[in-house]
Amino acid sequence: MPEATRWRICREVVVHRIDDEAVVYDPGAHEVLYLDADAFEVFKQVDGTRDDAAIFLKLAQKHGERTDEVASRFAPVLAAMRRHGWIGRILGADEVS
Amino acid sequence: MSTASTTGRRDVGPALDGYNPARRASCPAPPGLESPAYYRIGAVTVCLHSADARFREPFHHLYQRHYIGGPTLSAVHIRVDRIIRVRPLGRCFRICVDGEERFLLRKPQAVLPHVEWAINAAVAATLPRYHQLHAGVVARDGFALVLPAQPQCGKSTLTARLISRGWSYLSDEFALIDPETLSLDPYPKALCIKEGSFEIVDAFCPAAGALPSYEKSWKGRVRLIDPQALRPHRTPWGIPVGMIAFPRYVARPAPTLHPLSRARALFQLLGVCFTFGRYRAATLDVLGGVVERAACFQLESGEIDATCDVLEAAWRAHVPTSGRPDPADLTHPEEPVRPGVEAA
Repeated sequence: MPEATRWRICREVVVHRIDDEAVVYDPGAHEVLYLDADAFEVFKQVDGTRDDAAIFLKLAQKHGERTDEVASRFAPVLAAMRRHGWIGRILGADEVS
Repeated sequence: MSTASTTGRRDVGPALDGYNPARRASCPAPPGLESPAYYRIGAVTVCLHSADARFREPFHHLYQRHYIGGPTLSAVHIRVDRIIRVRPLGRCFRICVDGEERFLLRKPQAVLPHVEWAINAAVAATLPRYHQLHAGVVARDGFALVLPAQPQCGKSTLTARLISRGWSYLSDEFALIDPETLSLDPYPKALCIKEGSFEIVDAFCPAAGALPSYEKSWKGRVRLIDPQALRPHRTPWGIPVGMIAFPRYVARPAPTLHPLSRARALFQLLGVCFTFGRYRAATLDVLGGVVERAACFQLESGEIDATCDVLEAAWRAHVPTSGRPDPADLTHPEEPVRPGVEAA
């Protein structure tokens, strides 16, 4: 495929990236998730990190912004990903609250 | 007993080929049609087994251009029988697909659209090779316009109008994607127009007003329209996708067309993909390849011609003319193999 790339975040989840967005497929649950640019940005930082503050810190460092600014922008996305149980799947473990 | 009731009959002037009821009466089915009769409808081969002329002859007149006569190694076998069930139906019509009972119907007016429904279900469940989307598909300039949508979104009506405006027809129900080339092959079935669109279609195809209407379960009354009657044309094969527009009917005159990101388009395509459960992760690769080459839009359709104007303007702006030969010159591929049915 010329532009879209495909790789595995962990064993269970397949990510199909197109431009700045992505479609994530969980073969185990046969479920797909659309990630817009913000959601995909969060998605890429989640791997290995369970804690919201740690995720926001990684995003702030990447974007060169203040952590509270990043948190206000990305908190709804992160909350939605937790609500759908995707954080745990990305980590390859059950989600922890 | 008539096979279907006729609604909205009026003076339609010279009827197009295949639509004139008088011609229908004077055009008997060819010798040997009785049963079984084979039809190669684009990438789908159908064999109709029925001793009842009320179903056999209307089916033949819809698909006579696709009639191939003799048996083939692969086909969807549709059998229509008159049977008696003690309860609850009593005397009824039974439609079987590849030997399995699919529908039991009391009224003869319901048989033909359910035959079509049974074929579609068999295509979605068993046709090999293709990744399948629930979509209307038309082509122009060597590229395809795909209209993916759930039922009741106006795919068939919009497809019919586009054909009459010069587009070539591939299907009003299936986009059949070859996973190796990412191009589309046709399944040019009769267009199934629901009662709510009868007047719209009659306005640009007056001959359609003389067609019988049939009963199709909860979908209500429908007409089955031969696409060649909308505009005589050849059926293209192997057409790459140039544009994808997800139609949604909104009851207002002015249509709108919003650009859609390719990831969003891929996600929405997965929602109308019949074969996602069969091919699973491979589906993302195929459909991802399709959206990368296409302009993608969300269409809120309105008045039919205004909607076509908007689509065609976007087409001219976003889809290059390919310089491919006219679809009429494209050669037909070999018949697709459907193993397990009449295999030698």
